[in-house]
Order: sequence, then structure tokens, then C-alpha cells
Amino acid sequence: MFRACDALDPEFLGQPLGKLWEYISPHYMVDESTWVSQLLPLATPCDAEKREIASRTTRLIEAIRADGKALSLFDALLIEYGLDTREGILLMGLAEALMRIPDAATASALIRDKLGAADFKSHLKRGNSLFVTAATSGLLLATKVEGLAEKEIQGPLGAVNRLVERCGDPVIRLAIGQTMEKMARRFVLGRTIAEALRNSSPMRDKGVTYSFDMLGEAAVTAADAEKYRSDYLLAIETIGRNGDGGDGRPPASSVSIKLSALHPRYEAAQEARVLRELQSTLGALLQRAVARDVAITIDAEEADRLELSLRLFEKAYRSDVVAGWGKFGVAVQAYSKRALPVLCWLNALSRERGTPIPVRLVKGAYWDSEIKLSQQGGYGDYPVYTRKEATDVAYLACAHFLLRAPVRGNLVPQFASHNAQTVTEIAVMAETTGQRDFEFQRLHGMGESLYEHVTGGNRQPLRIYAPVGGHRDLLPYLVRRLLENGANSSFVHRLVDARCPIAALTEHPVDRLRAVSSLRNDAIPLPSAMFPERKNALGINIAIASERSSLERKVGAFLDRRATGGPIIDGQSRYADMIDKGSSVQSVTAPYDRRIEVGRLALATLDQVPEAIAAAERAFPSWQARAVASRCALLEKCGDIVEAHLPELVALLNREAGKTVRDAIDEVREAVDFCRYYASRAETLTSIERRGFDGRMRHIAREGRGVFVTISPWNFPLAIFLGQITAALVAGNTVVAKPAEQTGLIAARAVQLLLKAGFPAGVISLLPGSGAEIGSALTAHPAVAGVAFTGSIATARRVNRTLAARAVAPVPLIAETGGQNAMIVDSTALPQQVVGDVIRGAFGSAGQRCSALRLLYLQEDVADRIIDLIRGAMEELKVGVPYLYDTDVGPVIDAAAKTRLMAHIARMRSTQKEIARIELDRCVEHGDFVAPSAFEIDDIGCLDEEKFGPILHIKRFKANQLPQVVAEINQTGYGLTMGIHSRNETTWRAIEKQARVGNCYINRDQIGAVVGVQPFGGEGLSGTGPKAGGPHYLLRFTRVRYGDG
Amino acid sequence: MTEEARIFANALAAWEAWHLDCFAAREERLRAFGKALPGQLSEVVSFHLREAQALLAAPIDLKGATGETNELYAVGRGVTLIIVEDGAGFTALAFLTAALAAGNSVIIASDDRVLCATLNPALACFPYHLVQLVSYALSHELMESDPRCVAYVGNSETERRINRHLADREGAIVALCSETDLQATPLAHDPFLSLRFVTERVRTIDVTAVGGNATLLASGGAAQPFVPG
Repeated sequence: MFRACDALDPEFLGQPLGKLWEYISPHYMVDESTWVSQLLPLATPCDAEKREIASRTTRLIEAIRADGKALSLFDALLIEYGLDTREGILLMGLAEALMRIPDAATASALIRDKLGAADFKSHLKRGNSLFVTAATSGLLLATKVEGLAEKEIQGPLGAVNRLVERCGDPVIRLAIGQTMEKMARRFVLGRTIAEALRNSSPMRDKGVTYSFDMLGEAAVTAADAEKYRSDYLLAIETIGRNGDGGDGRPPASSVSIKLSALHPRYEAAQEARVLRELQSTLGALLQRAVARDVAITIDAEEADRLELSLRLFEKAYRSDVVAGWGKFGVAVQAYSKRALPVLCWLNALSRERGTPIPVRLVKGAYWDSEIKLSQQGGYGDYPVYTRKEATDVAYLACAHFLLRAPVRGNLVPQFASHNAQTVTEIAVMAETTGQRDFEFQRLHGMGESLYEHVTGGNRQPLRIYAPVGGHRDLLPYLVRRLLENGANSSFVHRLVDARCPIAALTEHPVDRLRAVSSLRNDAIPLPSAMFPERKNALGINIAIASERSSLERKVGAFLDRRATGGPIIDGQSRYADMIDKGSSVQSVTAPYDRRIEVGRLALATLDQVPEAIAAAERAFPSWQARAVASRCALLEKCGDIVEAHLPELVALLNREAGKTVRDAIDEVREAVDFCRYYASRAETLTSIERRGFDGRMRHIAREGRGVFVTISPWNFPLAIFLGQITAALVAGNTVVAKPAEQTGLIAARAVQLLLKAGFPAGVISLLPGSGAEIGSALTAHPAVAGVAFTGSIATARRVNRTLAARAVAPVPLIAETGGQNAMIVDSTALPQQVVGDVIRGAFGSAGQRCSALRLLYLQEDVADRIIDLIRGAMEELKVGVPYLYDTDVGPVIDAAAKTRLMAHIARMRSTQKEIARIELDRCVEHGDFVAPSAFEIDDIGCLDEEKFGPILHIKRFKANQLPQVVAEINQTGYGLTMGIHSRNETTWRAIEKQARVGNCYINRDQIGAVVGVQPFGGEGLSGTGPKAGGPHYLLRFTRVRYGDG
Repeated sequence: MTEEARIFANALAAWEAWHLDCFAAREERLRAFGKALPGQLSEVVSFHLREAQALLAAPIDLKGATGETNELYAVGRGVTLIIVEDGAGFTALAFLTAALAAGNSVIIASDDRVLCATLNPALACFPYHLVQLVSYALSHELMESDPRCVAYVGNSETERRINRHLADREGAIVALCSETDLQATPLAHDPFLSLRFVTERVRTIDVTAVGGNATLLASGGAAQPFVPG
């Protein structure tokens, strides 16, 4: 492993490039405390330096505060109106969405929603930091411009409300729209590159240079990527033509490139394709940039893309076009734990080629989404620091590295910061090391006064990073970035706020970090510890090479292994026995290639049904009598064992169920979560005391009901299978499990793991076989005390009838059935977010999820644009064999499913409007694949039942038809999941309240429910409840037992 | 329109409003209802109202990844049909209270005159048609409508018959909540009874969709304000 002190060791730095590369990936989520303690010495100045830094920073801040001009109207307003979180966010929310809304009605409704101060408390806990936001100030600015006397303004809402009262809707829309334009102008240098150049002229006259960027959303289609490419090209040509390098105003301006804008699939899983295609795009841009002498910087984005971006950078950098040029650079994020090894590698790359690399050192702008993604993925740790102080320290350590002699001539540092302390310290460091070849950078619209005073006396070059583009496209992106990073602790605001003591701003980050009790922030628990009552299932981030290759190796060991499975009764596998007796054994083939035999499965016989039930009945009394804690302990052990077998189970899920690698990992995690969650819910089974309405005191306990039958589906052959079983078991029942016919091998392996965990023989038996035969025989058995079923509504009804036909008292049937799941999108939604969620929801797992999106309702005002994006994004999907990492969509489960889906597609093609269908390539010809398809339909009536595959239906609605849309969805009788995309809280609250669905997701996709977090299950035709993975599930597996109190 | 169709339509209309009301509003009505009942019957209402309050009144916050809120809450399933044999008043009232507190409208099919005479005046506490008392003879036809919950208090034989009848229907699967041990009345004393009459919902809100994760930023790890790249 890389050590921080290695960065100071010339011998280490002299290693071959390939060797230095190897240090980067394993550092992805290195232990924070260990690593930060290594970084601290690198960031610690000597006492004399420290005194010098503090005194210079103090003088700088005093000078800024003393300078009347330095306090812009903007900053002054921020301070004067002490905005609270709610107002700040409301107005930011408005700024983010308003400009893209095409229809007046929806725009007015959004304004009313935000300015009517809807209740945000429900999802934003109290006690948050203040959000002092640019948008809010922009709005205040506008109200002043609109003629409100300053004394009238009590706060932004007061002002706006008065404005609203005085004027009608159209006037307000205009006024607010203009305000947003004003705000946009503050952060966007120009709508076109020509305008940006004009607007940059005054600063360039002062010797300041620019880095222009066509910032915006990442491309989701090839057409978007092409548009961005031509924007970048135009920028290069225009800046070059303008020739600002040649008119005596050095240094030359540059263009920053966000790679996610240039390719619709810029992600690690698509590495081969990205390297091929994006390199050619980038190469062509570089060629023009070199010809025009316009410097290029590759921006840094999400942590998952870091390694890919560096590979791409290396390829482009090695081309002859840029050899000796020295103006092709890259941004490095200090908040990334990999920053220092990345810098060491870049240094070696430059040395090897002999061409300097400009390196923009930033802190990083995706911090909160990195934390969220790691928690969702259950990764071992975070790729970024959990304390701001640690990021500051890392920034200084990296700066220190960049200013040292071994790097000189190789890396040309560009320090992007708005922090007076950081800027001063870098200046002092540079004086100490004698390094003068570096520049500072700041964002357009921020930090003017800081650099005015810094560069006043010390003419270090300054470059302004300036977003360029249409306000409508740019504002949402900028607002999101601002909100993600605009906490009140922000130095920019405190710098000019006279109420903030200067001493608080000059304290060295090293001292601040040393003053805290632990180097990592305990307020942000590790992903594994995010649930208070249980461990989160461990996940693997396959976007990171070191993580992926380790998994690949382990999974590979199981990929060729033939599995066998058969009935397991009383702890004994009957497979060998049945082979000996000549029973028929089914050959199990891979859904993606029917020529591949995955294994062999012996199907249960009818006479094994009473045998298994008798075994379960025998095991019941002692199992039920066992202490709840002891049953829970077994469940927890089972969770650990399943987790430890992740590679094997991924391979099996891959082969038998056709699951992609990512889906298979998620499924194993879900199975583990079920084990741990139900174990943690044991308290619902412990006894309570109540005085009844008859005045008697009672002990009330829950106990197992007897033998439970579980009937599980093939689409989650491990997670749902184990979820049902473990719930029944921990509640004190014994279980006979009947898995789906298609996935008996996975089921057999899962039962082996249960037995390995120590569940006594007899408490769990397995009878693989058909529903018609084995399922019916099981549910007809009089001893069965309950059934947990997941599958189609038609089968659930048959199960219910069979159970009811018995001459015994009714027993619980917990049925989870299908859905006709909709998503509703209004015109306030961000199209790119919608499209990502639609693609994942409709086509992920080949649409074979109960929760999958089937029916997308688009407000007609935005439908054309979103449909175009969906079509474009579908064209980028890779349908293929599931064991390859770049596969997005794998096979469907079997030929029968394929036939049904193809028949539906044929019917849709002849009666509805086809929007897109992916062409399948030859690599899938031996499997059961269905091409992802999308149709625009005119009436929901054309969908008679759930279509369990990658088929999306789209319907348009008018803005005023929302209530009818919800009623129409309710009338299907299904009620499983729903997605809503709207920035209008009043709208989504109303939809959510009226929609009769079990799981409603707002402003995100509607799949991937997490155990214990999003308990899953629907109503009506979608299921009986209670929700699996929820706090009330276990109760239904029990009966109540009373004792006298 | 047949009589049972009219009854059912009225019950469904009453449910539409009742299930969207907050728990506190339902609780207030149920309290008044309890007070209007004599002696121990009033205690039955109080007991189940108290238990339902603890289970259903407020959404349960479920902790997940940062940047999302997840709330589990319960709503009434729809129209609940309670079929009551003679002499099973306590359990019938327990079912009624639990079903109403959970947000269902209720049709009680019973020929138990004492029960009906006791309940009838107290039903004035509820919105019109929220609780309807009908003749036992209509229970069969009412099951053919679309009740989302059926409860039964009586004997095992009828219990099985009703269960078979429900299982034979098309449409949503309707669970039968039944009490046949009229001595011990285990269900009538079950503090979790109201859960039998609810459907659970989860709403998941991505609070970072617009950008910004206030909860996380407040915990002190924020990076520098917007420096792209």
C-alpha cells in the first residue's frame, strides 16, 4: 500500500509508471484515520511558517473587510437578510426548475408551491446549517429592482408575498423569471462563447485569464454528446481565433472539458468502448486545441470515474499531437483518498514523456453524493474524507507535493480555492520552495475580493473558471452543485461577514483536525454501520479496478462449476439417492446460452411432499420452544455465511438466473439483509404485558404457527427465497420451501447454507418442482399452518383456493403478486434525471422485477424531449451475456417468458406507436433474450396484465389531468410501486396521497427496495401485505399466546 | 341498483374520505363513539384505539442511506365487512374499532338485535355511511362486492364456508380475520389487531434530487463551495 511519506521519497517517485499506477486503485477507500494521520505531517508547516501564514491571512481578511468595494451587493445581502434554511432551499428549488418549465400553469404552480412555504420539515431535519444561497440573494436583488423600498423588505418571503399580492400570475412569473436570469448571469459568464469572451474582456485587461467550460448535465444520448462536442470545438476555435494569447494579455485562456458530456456511457463498466470512442473525440478536440494554442483541462467527476478518466488522459496525453505542448492538463480532487498517489503517477507520466502537465488542484464538488453512493452500495469505506478539515489537510498535503522540487518541470500546479487561509499558505509554501511556476484559480462570481487583494501585491497569475452556456441548461446544474456544497461553514460567506471573528478563519486546518477527538467523523458512520440495529450487507464497487479484479477472480473460480441440486428433507439431500433409483433429473441450462449446462436438478416427487411435511411437523415443537435469541443468532450466522459466499452465489445467479454481475451482487446483499433484519426484529416476538378491556392483566407472546410453506419466484431466487424462509423460521415455524422450477439450483445451495449455519435438520426442507404438482400438493396438505407466496396473482388465487378447500381452519396466506407500475412526470422534472430512472426502472434486470416501471406518464409539454432522450438512451444499452461487466440487460428467464413477451411486442407494434427497440446482436442468439422496447400508447386499456419484461409503455397527459391520471392508475386494481418526478412538493404530495400503491418513490427510480428501509409489498391485485422487510412482517407468521399477568 | 350494491357504494364513498383523514381526526370520532357506548363496550373501544394509536398514528421513519427519507405508514384497505353471529358483541366491537381506526369504512352484517340496538345510537358519531348495520342475510352478496377486508365472529363451520367463498372470487385476495373461540376471544384481546385491517405504504423521497444534502452537510464534512472538477 501507498504511504503518504512515499510522495516525498525520490526513489519511490522514480519507479516505473506502471508500478506507480498500481498504487492508485487499492487506495480507493483506504482507512481514513490511518491515512489522515500519515497526511498530517505533510500538511504541517514549521512554526515560523505557521506564524507567517496566520499573520498574512489576518492582514488579508482585514484588508478585504476594510475595502468597501470588496463587499459586493450580493455578499451584503447575504449577510443582511440572515436567510434561514427553509427559505434558502425553497428559493434554490425554484431557481433549479423554473426556467425549464415550458407551460405557464405548471410554472405558476411551482412558484406558489415554493413561495407558499410548503412544509419541508418532514424531510429536512431541524438544526441544519444555514444555507446562504445565491438564488435567494438574486431574488432579493430582483425585488429591489422591482421597486420595493429596502425598508419594506423584512425577509425574502415577505417581499415576494407582497409582490404576489400586488400582481397577477403572469407578472410574477416574469419577475421571478427575470430574477433567475439575474442569478444565472452572476454564475454564467456568457450564454455563448462569444458573449463569454466579451464579458471576460475587462478582467483579461487586468491580466487575469480564463478557463471556459460548457458546464451542464452529463450526456445521456449520442446526440447530446455530439452537441457538447461541437460546443467544445466551437469554444476552442473561437478562443483561438480571438487570439488572446497573441494580444499581449498572457497567459492564454483555456477550455475545461467534462468527459461525461462527451460520451453517453462514460462509466467504468463501459471502459473498452469509452477508451475507443471517447479517445477519438478527445483526440480530435486536442488537435484543434493545439493548433489554436488553447489549453485544455480534463475535469474530475465522480469517484467511480477517476480511474477511467486517468486512463483516458494517459492515452490522449501520449498522442503525438500534444507531445511537448504542455497545456494539456487534468483536475485532481483533494477530497479523494487517491489524490496523492494520482499525483505521483501524473508526475511520472510527465517525466517519462518530457511534457509538463498542468494540474488543477480542487477540493471536489460531489462530496455528499459520494457518501450516499457508498452507503447505498454497502462499500467497505468512503472514497472521500468524512471531515472538511481532513479535506483541507489533504489539499495542503497535495499542494506541498506539487510545489516541491521533484515535481518541478513535470507538473504545473493550478490552485483552485476561495479560502484566504489556503491561498496565503500556498503563497508562503511557494516562497519557501522557490517554486514560482503556478497559478491560482477561482470560480466566476466568487472570491473576487479575495483575489483582488491577494493578487494586488503579489502578481501570481489568476485564472477564472467560467461556466458558459444557456441559462436554462446551466442553472439546474449550477444550483445543484451550489446546494451540494454551499453550507454556511463556507469560507466565502464568512470571509466578508464581520460578525465572524477573523481568528476563526485563520486557524490552521492541521490544528483544527488535531483538535477533534477522532480523525474520521463519527457522525458519518461507515457504510457497514449505517443501520443502528444491524450490520449493512457488504457490497463491492465494480467500478473500481482493484475491487472488480478481486471479485472477478473469485467468481471466475465458480463459473465453470456444474451444480447439482434436489430435494432436501430432514437435513439430507436426496439427489444421490434419486440418481441411484433412476429418478429423472433435469438438465439446467443458462438462460443466456441454452447450449451451456449449468447443472442438474432432481425434481421432488409427490410422495416426498408428506414426507417433508412430516419432518417439519416433527421438528416444530423443539424449534418453537427454542429461545428467540437463539433462533436469531442462527439467522445472523446465516447472513454472515451467505455474505462470505458472495462470489459463488454471484456465479450461480449469473448462470442459472441470467443475472448481471451488478444485479447478482445486489441480490446476495438483499438476502444477507433479510437475515440480519429479521434477526434484529426479534423484539416483536417477545412477550408484552397489557391490561385488557376486561381489566385482566395478560402476558402476550407470539409463537410459531407450525409448518409454513414458502413458494418463491425465479426473479429473486436467492433473496425472496431466503427472505420468506428466514422470516418463517425466526418466528418459530418450520418450513417446507418450494422454489421456482427455473431456479432450483440456487435454492438448493441456499438451503445448504442454512443448514451450514446450524439450523437443525427438519426445520427447513426443500422440494424443487412445479407449482401445479408440488405446489398444489403442499398447499392442499392439512398440516400446513401458513403460506408465504410470491408470484403471479393468478397463481396466488389458486394457492388461496387450495388452502381454503381443506377441512381445517383458515391459515395466513401472505401473497406478494405483480404490478402495473407507473411513473408520473410533470414539466418541472429534470429530463436527464427522469431518463436515467426510467431506463433503470424499465429495463434493468431485463424488466423482470415486480417493482419495474411499465407505464410512464409524461406531461405533454415535455413529452417530446423526454421521449427523444429515452430513445437515445435505449440505443446506448448493451444487451448481452450477463457475466460480462459491460452488459446492461441480460436474458429473460426462459423460452416461455420470451414467447409471451414477444407476442405482446407484436401486438403493441401493430396497434400502438413504437418508439424504440434495440437490435440484438449475434452474441445472444443461443439464449432467451428480448430486446428492450418502448411504445407510446393512447389508452391504458391496451395493457391487460403485467408484462414481466423489458417493455416500456408511455402515455401523455395534460397538466390539468393529473387527478385523472392517478385515478386511471388506481383503476388497474394493481398497487405495487409508483415513481413521481416533480419539483413541486404540493403536486407530489397530492399524487402520493391519492395513489393506492405500496411503495411510492419521489424524484428517484422505483426499483431496488432496501430491506428494513423500504419494506416492500403492494395492495389490491399486488398483494396482501404485510410488507416483506418491514417491521410488521414477522407478526403474520405467528399466533398470539396469552398468559396471566 | 340492488340493495347490497347501494350499501357497498355508500360504504366505498365513505371510505374515500375517511382513509385520507389523519389518525387524530379518526381518533376523535372513535373516542366519542366509545363514550356513547355502555360499560365494558366502551373499554373495548378505548383499548383498541389506544393500541392502534401506538401502531398507526404516526409514520415510522426508517433509517437508510443519507439523502433520502423513508416513511412507513398505514392506511385503511377499503370497505371492511364484519359478519357477526349472535352473542359475539365484544369481538365484533373490537373488530369494528380496529377497522375504523385503521381507516376502513365498515359494514356489519348481523342479526344480533342487542348488538345492533347498542351500536345504532352511538354510530351518530361517525360520518354518514361510515358504519352501516345490515342484515346477516346480505353478507353473502356483500362478499361479492369488493370488500378489501372480511372479518367474522362465530363458528368454525361458517368460518370455513366464508373463507372458501372469498378464495373463489376473482379480484384482490381478501384475508379473513376470524374469531371462533368465543370464550377466550384471543383476537379481541390482541393488541396488534388493527394491523389486520391496514395496508402498509412506504414513501421514499430523494431529498437530494434538487441538490444538496442538508443533513449530511450539517455533520461537518462538506468540501469547499463549488469548484468544478
